[in-house]
Amino acid sequence: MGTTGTATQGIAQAPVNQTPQGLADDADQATVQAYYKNKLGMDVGGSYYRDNLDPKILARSAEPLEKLVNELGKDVFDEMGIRIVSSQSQFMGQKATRAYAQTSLQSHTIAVNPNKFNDYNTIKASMHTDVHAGYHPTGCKAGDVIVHEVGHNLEFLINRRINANNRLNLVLADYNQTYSKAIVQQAYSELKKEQPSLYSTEKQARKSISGYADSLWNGTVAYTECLAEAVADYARNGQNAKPMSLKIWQGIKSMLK
Amino acid sequence: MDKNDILKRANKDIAKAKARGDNPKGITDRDPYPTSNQTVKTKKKPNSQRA
Repeated sequence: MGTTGTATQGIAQAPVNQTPQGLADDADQATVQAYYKNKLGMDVGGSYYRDNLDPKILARSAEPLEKLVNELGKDVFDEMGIRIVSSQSQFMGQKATRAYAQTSLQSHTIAVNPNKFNDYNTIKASMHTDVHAGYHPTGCKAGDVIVHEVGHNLEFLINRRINANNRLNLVLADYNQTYSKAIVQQAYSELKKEQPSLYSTEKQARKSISGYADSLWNGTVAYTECLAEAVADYARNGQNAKPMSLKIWQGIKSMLK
Repeated sequence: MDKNDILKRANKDIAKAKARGDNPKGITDRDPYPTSNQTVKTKKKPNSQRA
């Protein structure tokens, strides 16, 4: 719930409708955009409002995102330079119409599906179904769609930092999911040593996060999706996230130090 | 997790990609984040090819 700010002499006030942590569900466009920019280092494009998308979804994304910002530092988010936009055209294909969102790494853009993001209750119900089916991480909610996409951008930032002066390596690493693969495989390797009976295979470890964390991308194991799902799991569940997600999160942090 | 362990794996992966002759042309979008009642077709990158 938000607070309605009234000026108190000598005390700096939070913007109207902004709680000390997170955003009020009914925060207006200016408040949401300022919050995302100033607290989370992310731009919310005007298209989100042009297409009358539900601000409550962004409000509910704010809390898990802020948790990641607090751990990684806002400079990491500023460096990612993420922009959230509404894009009908990216979700026109038969298979994509029901997807939630998509990341374009080259432009640092998270495009959200207006047919999903136009109503908080629709996306909430859909995520609820997904979580109960084991397809997305336990406890994840409508707001965690954006968090998952931020996970992709974190992987790309690792790649950009390491290969800033080597375009060939940058592109090869993107194409082969090099950094998500290395982090996921190292996470499994360490867990196997620390808790041998926890997972019998790497596939089982990936699947423990969610069904989608064990999917295919580009015809091979979707390490990139596994990493993004682990980020969503950690952002939502903290230390109660799956052991594999916690390890992956440690790996991401160590790469961004 | 130790950053060097991850980097060791990553460097090996890139070296293997070069040895295979991977020739991707650019950075590619990630697949749309799907709902559980759909399967997003994983597409072969049109601007990339493997040797």
